[in-house]
Amino acid sequence: MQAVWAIVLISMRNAVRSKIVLVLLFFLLLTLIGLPLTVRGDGTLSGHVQLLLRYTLGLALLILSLATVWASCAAVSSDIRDRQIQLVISKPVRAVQVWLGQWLGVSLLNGGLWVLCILVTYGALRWTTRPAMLSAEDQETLATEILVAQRRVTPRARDLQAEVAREYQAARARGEWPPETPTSQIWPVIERHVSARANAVAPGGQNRWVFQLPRRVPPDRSLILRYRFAVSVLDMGAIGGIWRAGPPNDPRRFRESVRVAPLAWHSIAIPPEWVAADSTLTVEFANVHERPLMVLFDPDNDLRLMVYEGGFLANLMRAGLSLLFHLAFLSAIGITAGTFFSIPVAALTSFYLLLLLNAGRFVRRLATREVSLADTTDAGMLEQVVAAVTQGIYRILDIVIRPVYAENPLDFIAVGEWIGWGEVGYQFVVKIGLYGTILLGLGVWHLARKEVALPA
Amino acid sequence: MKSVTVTLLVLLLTLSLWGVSGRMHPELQALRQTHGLTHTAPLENAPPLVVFSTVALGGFSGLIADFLWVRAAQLQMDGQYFELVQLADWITRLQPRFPEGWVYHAWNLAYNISVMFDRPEDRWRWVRHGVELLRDGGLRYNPSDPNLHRELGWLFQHKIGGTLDQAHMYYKYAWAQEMDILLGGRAPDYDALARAPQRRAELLALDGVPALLDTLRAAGVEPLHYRPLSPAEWRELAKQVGDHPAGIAVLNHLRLRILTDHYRMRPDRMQQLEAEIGPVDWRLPQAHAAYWAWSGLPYAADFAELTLRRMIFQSLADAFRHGRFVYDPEHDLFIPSPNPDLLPYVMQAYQEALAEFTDQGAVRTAYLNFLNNALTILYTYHRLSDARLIFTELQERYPGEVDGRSLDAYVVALFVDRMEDLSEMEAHAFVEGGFYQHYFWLALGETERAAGYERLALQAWNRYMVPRLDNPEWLERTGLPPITTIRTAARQQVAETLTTPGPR
Repeated sequence: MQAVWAIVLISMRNAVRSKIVLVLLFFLLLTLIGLPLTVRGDGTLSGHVQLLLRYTLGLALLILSLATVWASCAAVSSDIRDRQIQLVISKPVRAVQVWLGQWLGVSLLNGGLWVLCILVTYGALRWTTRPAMLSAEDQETLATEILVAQRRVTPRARDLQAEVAREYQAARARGEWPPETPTSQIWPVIERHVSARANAVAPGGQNRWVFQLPRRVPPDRSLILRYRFAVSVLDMGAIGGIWRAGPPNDPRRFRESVRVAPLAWHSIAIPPEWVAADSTLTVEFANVHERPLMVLFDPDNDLRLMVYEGGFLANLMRAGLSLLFHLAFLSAIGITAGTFFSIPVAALTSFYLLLLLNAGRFVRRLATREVSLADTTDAGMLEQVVAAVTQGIYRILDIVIRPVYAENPLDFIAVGEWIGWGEVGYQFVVKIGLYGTILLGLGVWHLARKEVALPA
Repeated sequence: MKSVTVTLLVLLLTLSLWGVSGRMHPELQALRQTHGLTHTAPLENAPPLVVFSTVALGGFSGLIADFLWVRAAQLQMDGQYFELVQLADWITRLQPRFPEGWVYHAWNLAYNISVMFDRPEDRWRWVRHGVELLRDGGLRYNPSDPNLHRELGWLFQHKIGGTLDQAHMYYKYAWAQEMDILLGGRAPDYDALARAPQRRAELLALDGVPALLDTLRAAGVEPLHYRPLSPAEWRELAKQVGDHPAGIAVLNHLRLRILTDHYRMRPDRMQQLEAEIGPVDWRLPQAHAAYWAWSGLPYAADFAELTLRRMIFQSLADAFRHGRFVYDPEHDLFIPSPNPDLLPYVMQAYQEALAEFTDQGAVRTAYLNFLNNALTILYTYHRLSDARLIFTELQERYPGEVDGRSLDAYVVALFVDRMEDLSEMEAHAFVEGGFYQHYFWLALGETERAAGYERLALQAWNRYMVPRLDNPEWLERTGLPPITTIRTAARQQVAETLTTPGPR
């Protein structure tokens, strides 16, 4: 272990001496000091908090990611280039200790800087929202609505498969689709259609959704229903509706009339007493707009019940920890790439992998979609083979990327959404435990076999 | 030692070359313009960050602006608006000489995003972001672009001054309140502002000013930040200022600097505009629409000039229709109503435009519409001499429209034709005019005639409001105030009229 710590110290010293890393750290300092003073929100308190968190921490994370990749790529690679590694491997130090020492060195340096970024940003946030700067009402809003962690709950999914099957049979019987069209193409279309219909609200009608809450709701915290909708006509004017919440047969249940613009996010506060004993909340929307039009909700994206879970600082720390694991994962990529290639090639390879990881959603879309290089009816054998191979590559990429691709935790903390310990643990297990081990194995395997004493 | 010497020499050489290139820069810029090597004039008086981003980034600034623009569009689609002010600011400052960028983003903030909010105060904030983007940025970097002047004027004329937005009354009230506090009434005291110290040092040199500023700071008011003060801060300021000469100097200095630094308006130009188009009420958005259009005239030609002139006479016509208001901030009372005193100025503006743009049928039609509208208002307000003046103008310029009818017959026909499609302001003016006649004739003892006008006003109110009662959104946007409120305003006007000496 002593050998590892010795390499940790050397690695940290080398990183600090790197001019590129120093320049990036200068930009980091500039970001932390300059951004909170210059960014302009939309004039609201919540906008200010969101912008400060997203921009300052987002840019700091980007700079740290670049610094991490460069420093980690240089860690082993420059030692080989400058022949310093010969001093190390001629001693009884194993390749795994070299890799671990370099990785820990870069990760610890990052960890320290990242914690500093979080503390400075949090300090700037508290300073710019100190009581002297806010009215009593804003202070209350900050404490109860903005600097909180709320769990996002979406409506319980409805079982529409029987209806989809019925529609599918009927469509086939009517000959709406060419007979050779595969079921895999028709089914999703009908499924989307049935789901849209099931979540629409006809003129004068109403629709109901059930939210399953994770546990008992604190009695002093309202539930916030965030919603948006589209309408069946091209009308940006406000739409009239009534929200009801609580047991459907209770005449006294919660009721709120609204008149709001379509396509924009709105929210209403629902008192927690309307949650049923089985921790469900039934919510209804009645379309009472004077002009006949359909109101359309996408249940996966347009309806969110925000339930209080805890304080902001703990949530910020969990987000910070998740991102720290991400930085450590990046340094593992960099160090392994550094064992294979020279610094520039290793850095380019690492940046490419970084780009690929960030395009996880795009890769997933390509993997699940039919790839066609020509019109399917005219496609020759060669095109079909190329299409199949391309799709195969996307699918493999998706399998590799999917576990490490995650939504940016900064997006969650900025809007006060809760990040659970389960998510943090998952990030650790996948990025450090699984992929970290694979990268360690690859790096050690190659380092142990690499000829490091070639003549200049 | 040798390396230190070399380093020092290189440093010295670098600094010398910097100095030389700095001296050559203006000459090179002039040559670029002379030989047509650049299609835009170099940026002047821009903040260092803007100069850096446009010069250092070179052609990449366009790419970065594109990237930010895509992000802004995506965020807008997702309903996340809080970043858009900052993104619009960055996008436009990356390419400050691209007027269309300023126009698009200002319009997007003021029109598209504002309507996504339910509360009027939220909407107003976005409308203001749009105005500020054009006024504080767009016009700063493109001061000679007539299109930007027109767009800024349009935000005042249409978005704030019009009735399209559900929250338009809130905008008008908020703007009136802001301007009333700043200007201390309809218009600033131009003479006092002309005498006011322009610079902070001049102010501080006056007797008693430093002590007064200390007192104000102790009371929590920092006046020398030159930002608009809240009503509470103005009240505190007024309380401390009193009649003391130092206090009056502080007040006038503040008014001048906030007007010029924050609102980017010059009192001498405001006064000049009033001398040209007549006395306007600067608490109204129409006055500001006219100001920005008028400010763009020196840079406009052909169609651009026509659109700016059109904005001026349209704004004046709007000010005639609802350019006077009952305003009581203590009770949140704000009721716009017609200002018949503006009639000669509006007519003059139209006549000048007609003389200049003889081939423009649209100006001719606009003048006819204005004359008809003014006639109905003046007739109901019992301003019969003015009504006759307009009728004579109609007979001379539009004999086909009058078609040989008498004044009374023509006005009756106008009422019948227009009752169905009156705008909110016109309907308001009509109803209030009816009540005005009612109280006027009542005061003169002609009870039957008074009762007739009262019945006419009540019927008009009902006819206008009944179709809207089933449509809350329409009612909120274009509905009239309660009948008692309009009645009270008309009674006050009659009382003022009857106590003011002069011919009727």
